[in-house]
Amino acid sequence: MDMYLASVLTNMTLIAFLALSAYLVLVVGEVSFGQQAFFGIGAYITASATALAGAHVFWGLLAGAIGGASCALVLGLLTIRLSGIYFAISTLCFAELLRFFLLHLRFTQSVDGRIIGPDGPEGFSNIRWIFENNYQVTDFLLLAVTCLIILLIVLFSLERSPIMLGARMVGNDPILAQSQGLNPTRYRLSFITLSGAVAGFGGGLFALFNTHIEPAMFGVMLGIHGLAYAVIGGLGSAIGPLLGVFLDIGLLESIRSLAAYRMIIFGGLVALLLVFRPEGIISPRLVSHLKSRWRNRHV
Amino acid sequence: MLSVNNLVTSYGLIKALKGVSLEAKKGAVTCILGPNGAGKTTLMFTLAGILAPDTGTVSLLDQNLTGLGAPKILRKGLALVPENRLVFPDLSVYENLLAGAFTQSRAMAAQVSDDIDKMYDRFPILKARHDQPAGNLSGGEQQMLALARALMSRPSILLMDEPSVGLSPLIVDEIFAIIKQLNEDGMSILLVEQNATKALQVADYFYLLDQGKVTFSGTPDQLKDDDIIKRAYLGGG
Amino acid sequence: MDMLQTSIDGLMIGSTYALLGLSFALVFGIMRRINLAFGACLLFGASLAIYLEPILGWGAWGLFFVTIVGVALASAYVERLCFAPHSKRHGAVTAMIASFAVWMQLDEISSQLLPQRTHAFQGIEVPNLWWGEVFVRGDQLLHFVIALVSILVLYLLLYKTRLGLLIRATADSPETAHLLGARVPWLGFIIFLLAGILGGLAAFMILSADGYVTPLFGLWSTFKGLIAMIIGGVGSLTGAVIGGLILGLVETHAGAVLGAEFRDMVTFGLVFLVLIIRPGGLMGVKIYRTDSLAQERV
Repeated sequence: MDMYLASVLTNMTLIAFLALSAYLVLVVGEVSFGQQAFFGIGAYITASATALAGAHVFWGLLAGAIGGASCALVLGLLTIRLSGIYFAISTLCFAELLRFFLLHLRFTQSVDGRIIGPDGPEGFSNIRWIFENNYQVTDFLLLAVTCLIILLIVLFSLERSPIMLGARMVGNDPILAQSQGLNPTRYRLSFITLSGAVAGFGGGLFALFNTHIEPAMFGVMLGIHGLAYAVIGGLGSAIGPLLGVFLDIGLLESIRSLAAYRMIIFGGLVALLLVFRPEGIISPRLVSHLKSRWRNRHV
Repeated sequence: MLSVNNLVTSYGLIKALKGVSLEAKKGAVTCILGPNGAGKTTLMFTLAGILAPDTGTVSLLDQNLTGLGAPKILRKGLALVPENRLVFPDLSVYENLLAGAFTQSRAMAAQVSDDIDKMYDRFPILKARHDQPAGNLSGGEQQMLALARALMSRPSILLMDEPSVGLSPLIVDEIFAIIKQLNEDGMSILLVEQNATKALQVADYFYLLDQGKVTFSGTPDQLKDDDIIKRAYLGGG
Repeated sequence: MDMLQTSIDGLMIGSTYALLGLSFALVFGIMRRINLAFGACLLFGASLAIYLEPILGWGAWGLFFVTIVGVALASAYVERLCFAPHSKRHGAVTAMIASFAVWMQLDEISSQLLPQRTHAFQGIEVPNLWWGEVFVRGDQLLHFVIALVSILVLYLLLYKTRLGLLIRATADSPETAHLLGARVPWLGFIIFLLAGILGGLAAFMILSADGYVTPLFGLWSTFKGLIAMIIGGVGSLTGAVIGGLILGLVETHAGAVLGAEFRDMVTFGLVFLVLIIRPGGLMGVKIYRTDSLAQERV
């Protein structure tokens, strides 16, 4: 496979984790501007575990996911009374505070004559796992896609279980959901935590692939991109956010020849798309319509 | 059957219920009348466990419901059809019905699909629109869906908060016919209404709620004989 | 004495933040929408002004007018493309994401207009003032006055004119206003134009005080506006003005005590604390308590 194509595809796969994590928060009815922080925390933890502590990559990625989930849980607990714009802005502040923490995190070691570890704004260089294990870009793409597919299988089995129906009920109308006997707070907390785990895991893969990470990479623009992919793709199914990523990055890359003007064309196209499909391409209504139709035909 | 004793509930600093006591009998339609801001919705939310009462007790069939959360209260047999927020607009009609059976441990089991079939029999319009997003239904259809969804939890008493609000007179007639039918099939119903004329056709017993207090209680005949109420709620003299 | 000087600097900067916050509060208070492209509109207006400056040759006043007109035009364009099609109750998130897409678009146009990273931005020349030990920059004092006057004009427009009454009625209950025949056609458009004019004023004042513009200005002003609005209490216009002044004071004092590096973080930390302890902001507690807004989706 073409190296360039492989690395574009890998980037799309990694961003898909961020889009899916934004999707999980959107499903319970909230908007988060802070998923990039969990992505960044996951990246730093995975990098530290593999490059500094010499842990196996599996444990490194797991630790990244757990780190992302814990930060998200803390955020969820702190913002338990907030919703709507208040929640959105508090996620933004929380994410910027975490990034500030990363900006001041200095813990470097010299390993085999190389300086490794978080070094303030300079970031974390020499994450050499990919070289040490002799991974080509295509090998890494395979690894990332495998992880994404596993995540999708998990999300799809969730989608078929009552949990996702409950989450969508909470997202539609928390009070009505409560009158149906659900605990909206518990749903919100679990989904925010899960979103942190997904973002943290994706961040871990991102660190391994990039071999260098720095706090500036995890600014709010990254998070809003993830959010936008989820909304453009639609919240009806986990496929939606993937479609959003694919459309955006795929199309952008394919009109690369237009270089400077592509964002002008593209931004307009996305806004127009939303005029015609305001709930995204795969909207919740479309999915529940299809699902119910399919189910009743086969009963 | 459902007995409420001296219930006090506050919204922030405001006391919305100032000691409400009432009794809903088994197999009867009990109606709570009252103007806007009387505390009717607060009462419904407190009974369903969405709001927690400050003091007072609620019990259903000799089980104490006071202070239990919404899930437990629903499981003990009290289901609420809230006002205005009737359906989950993004979910299909079928999924909305499924949502009604949510707290049952038998969720998604075969029994649930039996229940759904029963609801389709009772409300044929829902069957015809089973795969439509509930948000696309008309007001009357949404009210029926909300009713059917509440019945999915197999309640022993059904609470309805202003089922006639925002509906055309023809649809209101239809909804009240359904309420009457449900009651004849043995369902106990606690109804909050502003449309007293309509409520008189179905209710067996009335309470009047004003500014967080019960100011009158009696049978439909007693209600019709009360001059003040007649003027305020039934129009004319 | 340093305290006093820092506070005066803070108020001067805060008055421009107040305008940014006011633009956000207008849009959110009346339409319940967040315009992520707000900062990008400001950047676009400023870029257009710098691009046209050598052609028109009107100097600082030219920059002033072209910036305001450019921002207002961009703001109106954003309303037509991103907000008018999503005016229904559940369209808030979609509109916000659409405005994000246009943000990218306006950013790109701005960088086409201004290819370098930094461009000089000329200000209006006003002599500086000394009151004993206290120093006030003349241009900042002028900006402070302009900000106060424009806030006053906005207040008069909303509370003392027929149009203002119609706008407030429509904002309060669109259905009722419609029934009374008092619905304002193009309400969103008018609001976005107003917000654009305020934003344009703020953009000119901030950039001319700094003396230059960079591509980061857009994101920066979106942040400041949002935060000023949140501190003051979402949707409250008076709150946004006070929020902007507080933000200016907090920033300059934090900068003076802890150093510039910590300045933004103190702000974010403060906003986060305000949100989790007193979610309604300083002025908006009552609004928050009425549960319709508390449950409102972005």
